[in-house]
Parts: sequence; structure tokens; C-alpha cells
Amino acid sequence: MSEKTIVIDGKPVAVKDGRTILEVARANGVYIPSLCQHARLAPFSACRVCLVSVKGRPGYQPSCSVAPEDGMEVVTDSPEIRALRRQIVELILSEHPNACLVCTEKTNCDDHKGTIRKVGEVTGCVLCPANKDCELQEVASKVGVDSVRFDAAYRSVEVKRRDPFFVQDYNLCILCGRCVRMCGEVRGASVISILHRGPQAVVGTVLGRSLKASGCQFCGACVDACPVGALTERTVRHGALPDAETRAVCPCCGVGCNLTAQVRSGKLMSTPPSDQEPNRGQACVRGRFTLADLVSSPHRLLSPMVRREGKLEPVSWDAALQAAADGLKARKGAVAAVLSGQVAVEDLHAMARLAKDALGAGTVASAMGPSIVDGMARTAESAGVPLPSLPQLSDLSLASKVLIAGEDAAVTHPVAWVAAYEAVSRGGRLLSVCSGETRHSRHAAAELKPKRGAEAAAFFALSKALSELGVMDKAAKGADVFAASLAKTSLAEACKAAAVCEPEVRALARELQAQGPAVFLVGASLASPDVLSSLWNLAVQAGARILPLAEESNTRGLFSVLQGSGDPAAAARAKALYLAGPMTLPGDAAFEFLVVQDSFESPALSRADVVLPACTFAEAGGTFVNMEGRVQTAVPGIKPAGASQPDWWIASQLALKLGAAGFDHGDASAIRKELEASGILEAPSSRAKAYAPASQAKAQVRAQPAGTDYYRSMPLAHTSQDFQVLRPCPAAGQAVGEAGRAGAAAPVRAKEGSPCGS
Amino acid sequence: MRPSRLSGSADLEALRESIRKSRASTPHRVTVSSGTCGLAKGSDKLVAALHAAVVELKLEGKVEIKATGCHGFCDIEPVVLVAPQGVVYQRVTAERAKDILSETVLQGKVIEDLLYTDPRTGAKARAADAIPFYKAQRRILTSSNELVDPVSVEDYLAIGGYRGMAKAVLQMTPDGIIAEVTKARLRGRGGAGFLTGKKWGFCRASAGASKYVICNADEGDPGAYMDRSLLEGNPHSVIEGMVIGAFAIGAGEGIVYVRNEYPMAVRNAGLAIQAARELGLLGKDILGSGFDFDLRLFKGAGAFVCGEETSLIGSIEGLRASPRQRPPFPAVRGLWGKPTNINNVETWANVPLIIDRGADWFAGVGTATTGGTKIFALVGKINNTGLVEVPMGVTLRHIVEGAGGGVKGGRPLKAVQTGGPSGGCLPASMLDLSVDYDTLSKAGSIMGSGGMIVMDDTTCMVDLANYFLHFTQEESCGKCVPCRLGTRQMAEILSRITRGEGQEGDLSKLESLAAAVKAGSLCGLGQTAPNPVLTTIRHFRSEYEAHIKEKRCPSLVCKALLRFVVNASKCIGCGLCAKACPVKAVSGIPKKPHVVSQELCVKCGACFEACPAKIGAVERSSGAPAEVQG
Ligand SMILES: Cc1cc2nc3c(=O)[nH]c(=O)nc-3n(C[C@H](O)[C@H](O)[C@H](O)COP(=O)(O)O)c2cc1C
Ligand code: SF4
Ligand code: SF4
Ligand code: SF4
Ligand code: FES
Repeated sequence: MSEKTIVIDGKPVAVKDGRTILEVARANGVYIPSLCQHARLAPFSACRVCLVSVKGRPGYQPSCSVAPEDGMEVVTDSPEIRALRRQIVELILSEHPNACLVCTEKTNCDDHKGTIRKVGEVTGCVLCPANKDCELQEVASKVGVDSVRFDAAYRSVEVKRRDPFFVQDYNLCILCGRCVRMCGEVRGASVISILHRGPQAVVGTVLGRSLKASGCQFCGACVDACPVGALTERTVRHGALPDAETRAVCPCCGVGCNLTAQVRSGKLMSTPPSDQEPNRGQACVRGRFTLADLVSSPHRLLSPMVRREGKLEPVSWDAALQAAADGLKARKGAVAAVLSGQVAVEDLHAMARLAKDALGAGTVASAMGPSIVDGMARTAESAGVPLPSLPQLSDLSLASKVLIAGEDAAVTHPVAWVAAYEAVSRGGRLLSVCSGETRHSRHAAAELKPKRGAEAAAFFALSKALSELGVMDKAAKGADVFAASLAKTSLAEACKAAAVCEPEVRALARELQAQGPAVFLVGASLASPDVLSSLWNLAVQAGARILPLAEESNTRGLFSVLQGSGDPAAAARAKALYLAGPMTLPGDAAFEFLVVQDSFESPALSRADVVLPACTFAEAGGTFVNMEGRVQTAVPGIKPAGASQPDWWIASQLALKLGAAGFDHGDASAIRKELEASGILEAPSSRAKAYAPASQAKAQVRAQPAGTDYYRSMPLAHTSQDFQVLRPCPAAGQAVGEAGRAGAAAPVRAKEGSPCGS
Repeated sequence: MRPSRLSGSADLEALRESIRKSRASTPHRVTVSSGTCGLAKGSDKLVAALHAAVVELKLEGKVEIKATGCHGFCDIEPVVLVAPQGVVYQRVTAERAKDILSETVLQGKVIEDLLYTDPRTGAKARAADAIPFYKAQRRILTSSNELVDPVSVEDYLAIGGYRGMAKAVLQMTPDGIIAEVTKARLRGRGGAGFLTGKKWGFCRASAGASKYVICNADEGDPGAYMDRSLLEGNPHSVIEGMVIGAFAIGAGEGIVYVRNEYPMAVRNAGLAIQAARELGLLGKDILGSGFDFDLRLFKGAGAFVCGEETSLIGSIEGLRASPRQRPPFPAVRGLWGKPTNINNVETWANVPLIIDRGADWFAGVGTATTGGTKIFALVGKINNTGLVEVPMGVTLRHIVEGAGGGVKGGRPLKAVQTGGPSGGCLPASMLDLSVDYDTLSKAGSIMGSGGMIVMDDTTCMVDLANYFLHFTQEESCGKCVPCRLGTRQMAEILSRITRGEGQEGDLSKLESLAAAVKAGSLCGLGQTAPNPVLTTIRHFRSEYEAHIKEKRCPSLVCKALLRFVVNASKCIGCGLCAKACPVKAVSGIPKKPHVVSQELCVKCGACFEACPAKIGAVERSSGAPAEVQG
């Protein structure tokens, strides 16, 4: 269709991608006030400050809710419209403390006021936590309200402080419904709603329970959506505004949310999500509310330490590095290194080089052991292809089928869940194969709960059911072998082995059979090769793309630096261990010498000979590769706490102490260049590009068509070929036996490991 | 005996014929109005007594006792009709059951003391057409309520029921039906008066394989109950209308959204749906036409705003009952996102008549712009309260003085409020206004769903506006700012005025707020909420001014503005007033004139009530104190 044009205040403007008149006007520099509108939310049409007149439509129309139509004539400003808006804002203010908005001294208030914001009751802006960050203030001033002619109708409700992280002061609420809609529409949580009607209308929970008791995840989405000071972060609500903001990448899970590190006087205050990809304004409780505390935790390691006479004692960096170098050098050839996926690629690169070039480490391992990321790479290898391009979270949000497998993703990767839920709210179907209870279960169109450990059998059963529906590309490589193994088993047997119910398997298979792009979100619990290869085959059959839920913020970076997961158990058997990051040491680890490089106290310290304090993400910044393969760069926001130093610096200095060459990096960017030159990292412009493990980096698959057909023609993974060899877990067999004795019951809601809901 | 499912009109007509034939053998019929109001006055006991009397008098097979829905004349419930004599009895108690059978049925004698007496003329009426309340009406819809037992599909068939539907689904095309309904000039009876045929046309034109039709039986207007009366009294007429509409639109599913506070309507509609389904008048392949359509009931949550169509849809979807911005209209995106057509109960009930008797007949009943009749719930200071069905376009006077029998107690008429809380007040001088959508809205009021309140000179217009504004502000869903906060400010100002705290400028403030609330609100509730205020200011400005400037309530209603004073020249010193006063504001010694202390008086009026009417020494006044006394 040709481009639409609408006329705004007499000027024709082209409609590019605005969904509403308001968006089109804004994109063209025309100001229309708004309060209940939010870019992530469906129009609500409640605040009415955005009213405009539209030719041919009666009265005034809320511009936030009217879709532009070709030739539409809109008037956004007239004396009548201005008067109407002013009156509406005045009405809002009749219910909202407004003393300061209409105060004649407001322009030079700061000179006069001696008050601090720490007050029980907010009566005006200078006492409000949202002062200067309030959309109502902005709208009131733009609309030109300088007096409120109406009687005040203060709500006088108790300020709610019983829940953690944020305070709810509904005396300030303007009932824009943004929090409620954010919680329901975007997070799929629906914890809060608008209760009662008329003058009693208020935001709250069912039966007035606490947020916690109502299933709140404390993701903070509501807080960030609130245009006024009704919902405010507890730790900063009484503080002054930040004096600096930098971009941080959340270290807490594989999504790697972009956060804004808000800093005041050198201290990290708060970390609200930024509007960029991948998280587009969303975060979770960890990234939103815990990081500032984490960074200034009393359990931070602030000084290098060396064990003397059985006790760790603070020493200078030089002394600590020397002690580490001495101890490691003495055991050269019997040294192992363990790295974590929580630090930047630069750090990992420096540490990996330290391990290989300076320590001659026999084992370099990932602290967390096998990962789903690594597992997928191996599965692709076994299928004889490079890892196909990873779907992005934005692809996920457009999928018509989303299968969540092996993870309570709404808890472990809440922002990946947000993307999945976006797909659901667009009409996509949510499917689930998870043992145990999950938060997403109530949104699932079809669900299996296989016995823990029998997931491979469950995917196999789904493959079987799909092939019975005629879904199988016989021409695909490996199809004959796979088909043969499917043919050996009946669906009933496969279901038994997985301890799932046949009708439910068929129902889920029918969902997978439907047209449209599909994405499988795969959790860490499925990292074993058996499970992944049967999942791979199901994905190929269904034409689905697989998105592994990488465990840590830089798991992908870690595995591309390490080219594998190494063997943490072997590492623990070495004579000397360089442990960079948190890891639970096996009790029987027999090393003689332990260097711990970390930011926080941990049980490993009890055995450490040397402790090297590292900076946190907020102090170090660096490059992170998230679960989508997105390469993101964070900027240091604050100065390192105590004597802590960036990991890359510590590694380089240690290498220099060990006499190695090529470690005189002045800063992290030098390392980054090295990485780019080596092809491990691509240039920064490739932010959104797929990032496959380095072994397949050359086979970048960017040009792949994104359609279902492409994935349908992928080769099948080399499974153990035979279903019988899939080793259904003994527990599953038992469950089947019991169910069999009990007799088949009618299928109800899927229950873990209980066929037919019995 | 009953065929399981009917197929084709021959089947239907054969069944109808057999029902009629079997009825013809019963010569007598005694009908008791047993709607919700009849029931409240003991109609169930009366019906039981009639049945018992039939047995006692061995009249089995000779007289049929029929309990029907509401006949509309609330004041004289329960009403009994005796056929074939055509006698109407009023306020019949169970004790009279036997008399009616033995005297009127068996001997054809009229029982004089059960007849209706016109309070104005004192004349006794034997038949319905002699009762002014009925005589002034044209009961094309409500008359069926007198003929059918609501839970008997046979009764409905006997009066020609489902003939229109059979014609529609077997002989007509969807477009033909829409054209017919449009030609009949049927307009939505739910309030806005939108042309029904046109609305159906929109929904029919909407793309989509599955569509819905909904019957709006939420009826939230305080004091209105015509929808209840139709749905509980003649549910099959609504079902028939909905099948015709669904066929015209192409809907496969329908929902009757009925407020839960209407238990009898819920029950009767449910039974009727079941009966229609059993006969193949609903469900798959209706009457063998190949058309599939089924209906279910949805019990509403009960808020006034639930009746607003988008809110109603949300409520069915399990959401909070809150309106949403239109467009998109339900005809394009309604229930579950599918094209949906919503009509009011009365609208649906009219449809079978149009198809059966033809658009020309229907259009001929009304005016040039609106066909058919409208049922009003006539209440207030009126002699005959009840449901009044009149052709569109009759005058207000016809309703108030004709059917209503004039103002109660012969007091002067002050105003008529139409349209419920969204409507307006028309002064007595506008009594000759023709009652139709356009004329009423031109006069600043609306037809609304048909509420009509008659007020005499003892009604204070400010108090009335205050009452309605408090209603709307409480019932506002709270979503949009102008309605939630604007009505609240208006209600505040009105309360203040009735308390005698009105200020200069309050009227213009009210008017400007009213304009903002009308122009800015999201849904019809807010858009019409200021009407009662605007019309009362328009027609009774002086009353407002008296309250504001003179602190006087001319109608002696606003308590805070009242004074209770003992007229010393009339007082006999009986002390009843002093005994009645809860705050001991009245003092005096026996046999001497008493005095009300204005400081202590809380204006409850207990003394006024207590003073014997023939003495009338306690006087009520408002405004500046008349004469200083005692
Ligand atoms: C606040 C509000 C309450 C309403 N309540 C009712 C109601 O109780 N019954 C009804 O039929 N229509 C009601 N309506 C009108 C409906 O929105 C809708 O217009 C009507 O059901 C359409 O049917 P009609 O075309 O047959 O009149 C209400 C509208 C508003 C704004
Ligand atoms: S914190 Fe998140 S889950 Fe909790 S109420 Fe707010 S939006 Fe909902
Ligand atoms: S708490 Fe904030 S976001 Fe929620 S409705 Fe009130 S003003 Fe809007
Ligand atoms: S006008 Fe009133 S009832 Fe309608 S949406 Fe607005 S607040 Fe709700
Ligand atoms: S922004 Fe449009 S109504 Fe609130």
C-alpha cells in the first residue's frame, strides 16, 4: 500500500510508522501532551490530555488512540483544545498534591527551601521523590496550568512500604494505568489491577494482599512506567538526582540487559533499564534493584591479600602479585585455570592468555562446567553444520510458536520471557516442556511435564507424534536414520519412557505443526548431548530456531575464548589453581596452591593462598556477548572500590610478573583490538549480529533465510540413532509402571512425570 | 407429544395449530400477572389459591390458570384477567381466588370491589380499555406479556411466535432482512437511538468468519425495568429477535448479558433458551434452514457502566468492566476481537414484529424518523406508576396526564425527567413536546432507555441534580479523568449549594465543568453525566440562584436550608414536637406555645411530622427567617 499522509494543523505529513496520531505528531515535532500513553502499551485513552479534533469525527478524539488514516485532518491546537486540556490537567491536579506546581515562588524555590525530601506525606513537588522526573509536572507546565480552581480531593491513603524495593504512595497516583498494564500486558504477571470505581478507584492487588503474596516478581517495570512519584525505588526515593549516567550491561543472566548506571558523587545509586535492545526498557529484580547494593556490598574484596601464618593478610598489589607468581611458577606444568562467564571478553582474553602463555596451564575450564551454549555448539557439530544463526529476542517476540524447554524462564531469564510473552500477546502460542512448576505454565497453550531426566524421551515422543502428522522432510540429511529410529518405537512407548501423556503429546505436536515461525527457548537443565540432539531433531522437523538461554552475562564470550568448557573437575585436581570467579571447589580438591581472583568473599577464600580483588561490572565495563550473540560494550560508571582492579589488569600484571611478554596493555581497548584482530570478536558495528563460537566463526550464517523452510531443511543431528539407547531415566520407567497399574485416567492438566494427569 | 426438532415452516405451523386446537377446548382462562412486582405483592399465593380452587370447584379442564409476566401497572398488582369475559381485577389477594372462579368464571358475575377505580373520576372500570392507564397506550410489545407464560414455548407459539423467524431464515436473505429493519426505522432502545438496520449492516460488512450478537439486558438505570419485564415476561420474543439478527449479520453465537439482580429474568431466559433449542429453534440447522446459531446467558456484574457496550464486552471477556475508546466499534472489533452486534432487549423484542407484520406497519406506528413504540418506566409523583408503552412521537402530556393519570394529589407538575441519570429535566411548560429521540435531545434531554420521573412542586431541582451527579460519580468506572474527577467536582459543588454554601460563580463553574466533562469523557456515561445539571440550570436557574444567593430552597427540600418554627398562634402546647425532637431543640411548658431553638435544631423534621396535621403549628420555611418570634 502506498504511504499514508495526514494533515496535522494544516501541514501534510507522511505517516512512516506511527501507529497513532500522537506518534505521528511527535515524530514530526508537534507537541501533544500525554500521560496514560506509553510506547510499550496498547492505547488506554484514559487521561484525555491528548485530545485533538479530527475532521469528520464527533467531538474530541484522544490522539494516543486514533490510528492515522490517509487524508485525515487533525487539529492539535486551538483555544478550545487548550482550554479543555487545561481543565483536564486541573482536574488531575485536584486529586494530586500540587502546591508547588501553582506556587508563585516555584521559579526560585530552591533558594528558599530548607526542607529535605524525607517526609511522610508528599504535599508538593519539592517533597516528591519524582520531582523533576515527573511527566505530570511537564504536562502541567506545557499546558500552562498556574492555578487549580477545584477543591482538593486528597486520597489520604496509607503509603505502602511493606514490600521490598519500592514504595507505593497512591496519594500521588493519577490512575493512568501504566503500571497495571505494564504488569499485565508486558510482563504477563497481572499482579496489580485497578480496583473499585468512581472516586474509590485505586491501584491495588486482589484482596489487598502484599505484592509479594500476589506473585510479584519485583521486576520494577511498574516503577519505571509510573509517570509520577506514586511508585518509587526505595533506596533512591529520598536522594538527590544522579549527576552522571553511563551504560552498563547487567551481569546477572544471559540476556545482558542494558542498564543506565545512575551515579551520584561517585556512588552507584540505581540501575534502571535503558530503552535499547535487547531489553527495551525492561529488566528484572536483579538488574533493577540489587546491583547498587551488590557493588557496595560489605562483602566486597577490597585489598590484595596473602596467607601468612594461616591467615589472609592485606598486602600491596606488588606483594600479592609476586606471591601469586612465585607460587604458580613453582608448580609450572601442573597449573589449572578456572574462568567465569560473568566478566567481560577483554578480561577473559587476558586471563586465558595468562593461563596458556604464562602459566602453561594444562586445563583452562569454565567455572560453571558444561553450558547450554557449549552443548548447542557440539550438537551442531555432530549434525555436521555450523551453528545456525541465533534468533534475536526481537524475532522471538514475533514468533507464532514459542516452546520453552527445561527452564522456568520467567524466573531465570525474565526479559527473554518478556519477549516470549510479547509473542503470546500477539496471538502466538506458548508451548512448554519443563519438569516442575513454571511461571509461564498458565499462559501455555500446550504443555508437557516429563519426568526430570526424561526430557530426551519427551522430545523424541514429540518427534514421533509430528512424524505421525506427516511432518518430516525425508530429503533432509540424516532423515533416513532418524526416521528409522522413530519407526522402531510406538508413540505410546515413547510417551511411557518420558512419563508423559499421549494426548498431550499429540496436542503439542499439532501446535508445532501449525504454520508460522517457531522459536525454542532452551534452558541450562537440558545441556546434556542426548537431550540436545533429540531437541535439535525436533526443531529441524518443526522448522524452529533454537535460542539457548545462556546462563551468565558473558557465557557466549567465555566459550568463544575457551573454545569449549574445559573440565572443571580436572582443574580441581591440578597442583596449583588460578581461580577467577566464583566456583564451588570439590571437597577433595588436592591442590597445593590457590590464587583467588574475585570481587566478593566466597567459601574458596578459606583455602586461598593469594587473593586478588577484582572490580565489578560497574567499575570495569567491557564487552559482553549475550545469549543472542549480541556484542555489547559497557562503560565504567564508577571508580573501583578499595584497591580492586579490573580482571584484565590483574591478569596482565600477573603475566608480567611471570616474565611473559605481550601483556603490557595500557587499557581494555587495546585488548579489544587484539580480540578483533584475532577474529574472536567482530567490530563494534556488528552489535546485533549473530555470534557463533569461534571454531565456526568463519561460517557466519548471516545470509541465511530466516523462514521456516530453511530450518526445515537443516540436517538432523546424529542422535544415538536409536530410541532404545536414549536411556530413559529409571524414575520415569517406574512412574510409568505405577501409572500403568493405576489404569489410564482422563487427560487433565499436565503434571510432571504423570501420564494422563493421573 | 412434542416433536423433537422442527424442520421447515410446515412443521412449525403444524405444531402451532395443534397447540391452538388443544387450547380451544378450555373455555375459561384466569391470568395472573406474576412478574417481579406481582410476586412481591403475593401473586404466587394467588396462583396457588386459584389452582386449589379449581380442584375444589371441580373445574379441571374447564379453566386454565396462567401466571404471566408483568402487565405494567405496578400500582394495582397483582392484576387478574378473566377470559373470555375480559374482566380486569386489581390488587387481588389469595382469599379472593375462589370468588373469582365461582362468581366470574362460573356465573359471569363481576366482583365490583375488585374493579379498578379511576381516582380522578371515581368511575369503575370493567375491562382494560376502560382503564386510562392502558387506554392511553399502544401495547405492541407489552401486550404479549398478558398472554404468555414466560416459560412456555407453546404459549409463545400460540400467539404467533417464531413466525417472523421462520420467514427470515427460510425465505429472506440477510440483506433483505437488514433492508426491512432499516425501512421499519427501528432505532436502538438502549439509549442512543442508532438505526438498528444500519448497525446490523456494519457488522455484516465486517470481515471475519465468526461474529457475535449480544443482547444488552444490563439495565442499570435506577428506576428503569422495562427490559426486565420483557425478558422475564416474554423471553422468546428476545430470542426470536436475536436469531433473526444473527442470521442477517452472519453470527453463529449469541449472548444474553443479563444483570444478576434479575433472578426471574435469568431463570426464564435460561429456560426459554433450552426450550427453543429442544425444538430446533436454536442450535444447529435452525428450522432446517442450514443456519447454525446458539445462545447463552451471561450474568452481569451489576455496575451501571457494565451496560456500556465496550465495557459489557470486556466484562464477558473477564476483564474489569471499563469502557474503551471507539473506534474500533464492536461491529468491527468486539467480543474476543470479533465483529459483534449489541442491541438492547427492547430493540431485539421488536424485530420479530417487524419481520412478521412488515416494515411498513411498524414504521406506521411511530414517527417519520423512528418506527414503533417505546416503553417508559413512569415513576415519581404520578398517580399511575408503571410501564407505559406508547407510539414514538406522542406528547409528554399524553404520557403524564393520559397514562399516568396526572400528578399525585393534584399538585402542580413541575418537571419531567427523562433518560435516567444521563437524561435531563423538562419543565412543565414543555409538556407538549413530542417524545422521540430527536426532539428530546434538542430540548437538552434524552430518551435514554426510557426512565421517566414526574416531579411536582415539592421536588427541588438542585437536590435532584445533586442526586444524579452523586449517582454518576459513584458509578463512573474511574478510568478517564473528566468523568472520574469532573463529576466529582460537580457533585461537590452541588452538595455545597444544597447545604447553603453555594458561592458566586458556582453556576458558571458548573457549566464550564459540564462542558469539559461532556467533551472530554471517554464513554457515554461521562459524556451525558452533566445533562441533569445543565437542563436544570437551563430551566430552573432561579432555583439555583435562590439556593446560592438567598440560601433558600424554594421547594423546602434541602434540609440545611430549612427552618422549623412553631407558630405560637396555632400551638396548643401538646408537647408532641418536643417529645419527637431527637436533640431536645424544642422546649416549652405544657399547654403553652413551644419554641424551636435554631441553634440546636438539626433539621430532621421530626417536630414537623409530630405536630398533629389538624393543628399544623410547626411550620417549615427556607430563606431569611420570616418573623422573629418567641
Ligand atoms: C453508561 C452507559 C450505560 C448503558 N447501559 C445500558 C443498558 O443498561 N442497557 C442497554 O441496552 N444499553 C445501555 N447502554 C447503551 C449501550 O452502550 C449500547 O449503546 C446499546 O446496548 C446498544 O443497543 P441499541 O442499539 O439496541 O440501543 C449504556 C450506555 C452507557 C454509556
Ligand atoms: S514489579 Fe513487576 S511483577 Fe511486580 S507489580 Fe510491578 S510490574 Fe508487576
Ligand atoms: S501508580 Fe503510577 S503508573 Fe500506576 S496508575 Fe498510578 S500514576 Fe499510573
Ligand atoms: S466516561 Fe466515566 S464511565 Fe466512561 S470511561 Fe470515563 S470514567 Fe469510565
Ligand atoms: S495519552 Fe491519550 S488519553 Fe492519555
